[in-house]
Amino acid sequence: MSDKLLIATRKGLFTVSRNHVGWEIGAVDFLGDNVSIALSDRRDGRCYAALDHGHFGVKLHRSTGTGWEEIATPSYPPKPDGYEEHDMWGRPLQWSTARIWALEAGGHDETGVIWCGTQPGGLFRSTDHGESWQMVRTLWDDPKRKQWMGGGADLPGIHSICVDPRDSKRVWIAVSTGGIWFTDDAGETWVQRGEGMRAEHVPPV
Amino acid sequence: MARCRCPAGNGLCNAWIRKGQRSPCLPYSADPFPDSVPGIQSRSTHSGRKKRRMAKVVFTPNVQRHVICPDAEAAGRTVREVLDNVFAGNPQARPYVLDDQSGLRKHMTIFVDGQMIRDRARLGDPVNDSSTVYVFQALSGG
Repeated sequence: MSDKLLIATRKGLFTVSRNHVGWEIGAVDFLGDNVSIALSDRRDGRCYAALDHGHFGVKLHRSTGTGWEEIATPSYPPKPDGYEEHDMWGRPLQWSTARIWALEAGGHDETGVIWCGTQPGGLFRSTDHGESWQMVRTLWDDPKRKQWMGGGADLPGIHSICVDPRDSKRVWIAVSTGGIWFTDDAGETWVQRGEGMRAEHVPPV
Repeated sequence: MARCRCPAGNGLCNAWIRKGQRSPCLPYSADPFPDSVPGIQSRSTHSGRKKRRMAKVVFTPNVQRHVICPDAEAAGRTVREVLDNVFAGNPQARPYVLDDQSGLRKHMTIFVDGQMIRDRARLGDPVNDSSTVYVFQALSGG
């Protein structure tokens, strides 16, 4: 069991450590800032923190143990001229990172690989510890992606990413709301994996 | 030596900082000695007595807490051209103002000579050499 916790809050990032007395707050970073999620990469000790600065947008920071530095934020590709897409409310869907909602390290055989899930539904992958990001277009361009919608939020978002520790190419993601999606080729192809899931509040179809 | 430029303040503002040191006021990104940028003139080095030949760009002090974004003078006939020139020398500040599609962020606003711009996507509103461009948050509520 780990003796360190990273707790991301709307008022900062708290590092809580366990000692002989119990759990104690150690470092406090980004005090006053909205930290939407943090990741401690056990492969190399790097930490990542996603900040939502409101007016100024979403930013990503990385620590190598000597302090935090801002790194590249996953960025959506240019929307084709004339292309229109709307959210569940009928409003134009902005191709822009509205929130970083999931961060996950790649497998032990994938040095530097980080997965990132965002609102409004884009999945990104970095191969250089977050220095640069590539959108997983196979998922974004899937026609069923346009059926995703916000569940409690205005925009759909990827909130969970699970990498199979036995095979790094096998990755599950969960979307709120858009179900569970699975790839066994590191994102080249995707299939839905919603069979067997049951929600009592959802009427039968 | 230079004065700390921290706008937020925690009691350490106006501290003198040696070149190469970071401001003690901010948890991150607080270099009081930003490199000079070709094509962009920092207001701190500009003589106010000379007639300006480029638009003046003023950024909200609130953004300075997150990224160094000093007021500047830059050439351009539209808001887009002026901001492109500013951000060419300060690329880290660009995503604090513009979104992934290079449009103005949803909750930001820009005023040119007292008039709020209308073209938030393409930033095609005209600017002249004597214009002052204010970039700050679009605030609402009471």
